Amino acid sequence: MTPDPALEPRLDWDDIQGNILGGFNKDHQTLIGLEFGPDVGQNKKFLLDLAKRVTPLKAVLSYKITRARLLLESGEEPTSLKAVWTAAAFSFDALRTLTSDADSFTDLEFRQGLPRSSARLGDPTAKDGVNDFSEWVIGAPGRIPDVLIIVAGDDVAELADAVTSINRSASSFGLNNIYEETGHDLSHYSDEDHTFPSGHEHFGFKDGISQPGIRGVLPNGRFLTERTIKANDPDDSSPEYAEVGKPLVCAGQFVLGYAQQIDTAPRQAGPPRPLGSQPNPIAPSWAGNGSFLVFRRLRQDVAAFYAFVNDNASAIGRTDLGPERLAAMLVGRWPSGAPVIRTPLQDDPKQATRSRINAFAYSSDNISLNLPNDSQGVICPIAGHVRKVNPRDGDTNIGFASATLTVRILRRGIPYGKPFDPKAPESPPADRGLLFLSYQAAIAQQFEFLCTNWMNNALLPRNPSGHTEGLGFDMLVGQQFFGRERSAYLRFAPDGTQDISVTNQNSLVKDWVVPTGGGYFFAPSISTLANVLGG
Amino acid sequence: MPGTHTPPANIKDFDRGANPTLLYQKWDAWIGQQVAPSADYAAWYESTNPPQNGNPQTAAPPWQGLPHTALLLNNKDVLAAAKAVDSPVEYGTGVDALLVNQPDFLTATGARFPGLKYRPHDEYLEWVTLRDPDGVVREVCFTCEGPEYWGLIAKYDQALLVTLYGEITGKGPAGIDPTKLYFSEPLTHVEPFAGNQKLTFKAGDYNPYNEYNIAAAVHLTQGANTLGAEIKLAMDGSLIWGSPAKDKDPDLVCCAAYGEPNRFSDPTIGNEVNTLARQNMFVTLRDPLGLYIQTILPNDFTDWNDQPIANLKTDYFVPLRQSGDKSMTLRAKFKVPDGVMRNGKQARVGDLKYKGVPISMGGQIADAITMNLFAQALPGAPQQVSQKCYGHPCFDSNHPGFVLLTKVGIPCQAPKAEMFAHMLTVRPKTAPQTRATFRRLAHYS
Repeated sequence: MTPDPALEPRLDWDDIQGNILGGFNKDHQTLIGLEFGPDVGQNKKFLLDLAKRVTPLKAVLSYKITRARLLLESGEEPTSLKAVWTAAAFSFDALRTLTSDADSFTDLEFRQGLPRSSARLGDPTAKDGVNDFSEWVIGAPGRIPDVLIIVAGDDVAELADAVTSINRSASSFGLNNIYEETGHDLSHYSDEDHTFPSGHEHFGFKDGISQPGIRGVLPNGRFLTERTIKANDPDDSSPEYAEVGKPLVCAGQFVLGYAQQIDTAPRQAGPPRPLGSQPNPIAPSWAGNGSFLVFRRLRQDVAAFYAFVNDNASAIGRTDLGPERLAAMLVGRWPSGAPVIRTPLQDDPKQATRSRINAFAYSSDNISLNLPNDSQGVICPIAGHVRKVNPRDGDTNIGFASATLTVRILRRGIPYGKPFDPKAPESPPADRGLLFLSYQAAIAQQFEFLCTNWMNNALLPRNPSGHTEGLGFDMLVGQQFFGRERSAYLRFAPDGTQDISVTNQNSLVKDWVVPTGGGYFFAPSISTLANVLGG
Repeated sequence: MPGTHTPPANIKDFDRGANPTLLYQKWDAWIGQQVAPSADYAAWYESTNPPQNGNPQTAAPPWQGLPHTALLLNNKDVLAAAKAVDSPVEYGTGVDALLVNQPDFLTATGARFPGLKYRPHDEYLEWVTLRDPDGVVREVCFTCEGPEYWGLIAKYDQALLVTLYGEITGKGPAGIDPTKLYFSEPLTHVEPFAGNQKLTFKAGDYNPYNEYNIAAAVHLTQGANTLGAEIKLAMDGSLIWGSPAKDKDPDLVCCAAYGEPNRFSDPTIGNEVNTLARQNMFVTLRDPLGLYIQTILPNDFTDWNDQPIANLKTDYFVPLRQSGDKSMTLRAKFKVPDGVMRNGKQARVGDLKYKGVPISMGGQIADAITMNLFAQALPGAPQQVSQKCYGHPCFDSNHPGFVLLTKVGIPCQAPKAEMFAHMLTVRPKTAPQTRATFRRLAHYS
């Protein structure tokens, strides 16, 4: 059956930046923050040069196909296959200096920038209630980059060369480098004494596992997201899956100019967000094939997190709840990535294989997977991080379960800093964490919604309990302004008689994830970068 | 002496009446009648008479107060949706912001009875926005009290009704004209939310749309915002729908047709109850039965300098009528506390921002309010026979995301535009008259 062209639009893989829909997912990535010089003409010349460096979706996908083929043929990681890729994004103020119609961007959060949203995101504040940006490495008022460039590579030296080349070009056109930071997959730090597995973040958990499938076909006729599940009845009103645990989301949820996801009808194409001369445009016409980029520099205090987990496990005193299980329940996954719902009591790498790591739900969808219905949150806490930000099946406060597809984002982050060594206490803690990056079509309705409505809220998205305050905050990443105090319930019986509260109230350090910078940007299409912004 | 079923939030109004016992008994009888188990509802029980001992599971499903329908029809723009539903609507003046066409109230001669209004807020939360003379929002008052409770007081204790109205409106009892609280002549009204039943009101019946209520949001007025609708929805949610059983919305809500699929509230309540029922649980609504304001989500509020607001939950959002243990709130107001100054003047609600946008509509605050009810469940319910579906969901490309509840057997492709045109006239509403609604839809199709 020919796919519905509205629902599965042809994606312009020569024009869309590769990191948006393809995901660089390289082991080494450098973020460069540039400030424009006073000469707009020079700035535009640099952007023309930059446009030639930005990697299109086609190149990323071609590489990944080749890599997958080589991996299949040899059974080993094809180390000879290397690439350096580049992505770019702009602040609202930068776009205003480069174009005459940037004011037609209506995304308020993008226009105002991350610092103005910081309070709503629950970031740490000073005692007088005024935002505290003193720890921000980049993105505080007065230090907002005009251009954020992401350079990704398989090889550290090749990456460094590319970064140097971009910096030279920028400098030659009068731009200032105000930020530069390189993140590495933690396996980069493995040595004779330590092994750090690939794809994990600093708390030790495998990260970036669950990404939505993206609807759309490529010019070569293939789906962008390959389907292992055959499409069934188009009139079915439940989400359609590319593979188990990977629902398909309309491309317009991540890239402007394509069909949007409808919250009540997951197999229907919503109209693309209007652009340019269309009625009620949300952005100029040249914003098509572009996406909004959220960057959050999140410092992780590993010792504080594990002190919190150890203290609470000890205080609870259940023989079946050690610190490892408590941490896993708060995350919703074990360090291997194995879902708690699949293996409640201990980590089990067999549940972290490609076919199982994402094959789970929380409620009735589990029945077909031979997993228990955990609608009450007795196995995986309702407040567990991965359940908070992706509730999967079951209705939420925003309506049908399918509505949760509209708040999905494409995560592209990478850790920064050396891994924590429990045998080498640090005082103060070293600077390590996550360079969180996400692409979406609407910052408020996607990224900020997840933060303010669900992660930083004890009550939402569901409350299958009698606790009027809800079942708790996202204790892993959630923020809570002013008191910083957060708590969450672990449930050991559906009737609530064995609900146990976990809290940071008595923790010496109350935040183990601390925002230390970032920004809201727009990642334009490559043609816009060359022909509208550059020149 | 309290009855077996206590008033919403255990509110103590009845104690102040001329005959408290009578009021408690009447309330108990009315609720008891609504929630009585029947052979049609094998998994339903009355909370005051559980089928077995043990600790029931509780679920308090949350939903947001700003109508989802308004958000759907306004591209999820909170301010636009809030604007669309800001003003009360007069009966018989056409389609409202939620696409509901409420017919006129008619006198005995068939003449239009003008001036009756309702608030187009259909998530069991209604509000009034109070503004200063310069148009800036000063205060927003919220209610989730069912009209049935007030109708009962009106019927049995007019003096108490006047006293309570005087307190809530701030006018005092002397400022309330009792004759305005009752209909002065017989009226009829075809109510779309009661399956297009022709409702009759006698002279002397309580007028839930009285001017004091419209001005001060004493209790709910929208046609679907009733305790009876809540109970019927939960009871229908206790059945198993479709074979294999529907377990997802919009399939479930359309199959059961127990509510309006485009709301936050109805699918959320029905799905939560049905999730328990599908696990062979007995289910019910916890006593005191009611719809409650749960909390306000403070995260998206900032002051005029985009700074977070300390203690917004406790100091700005003030419960006015709630249970003694504070877990069930029926009425609340949002106001900047005295002494919070901006440029040397008392700050007002309109000085604050919600999601970065200055507050100019009460609906912006309703967007941050979560509602709930309390469902309970006990194990051991008998295996249920599946109910046949009444409807299935269809969609209209002209109104993305808007669910067209369509009778089983009618394909989505065939009469979509025509069906939607009819929905604009009178939308199908199932609770509490599910089957009657579908007879009407069948007629349109």
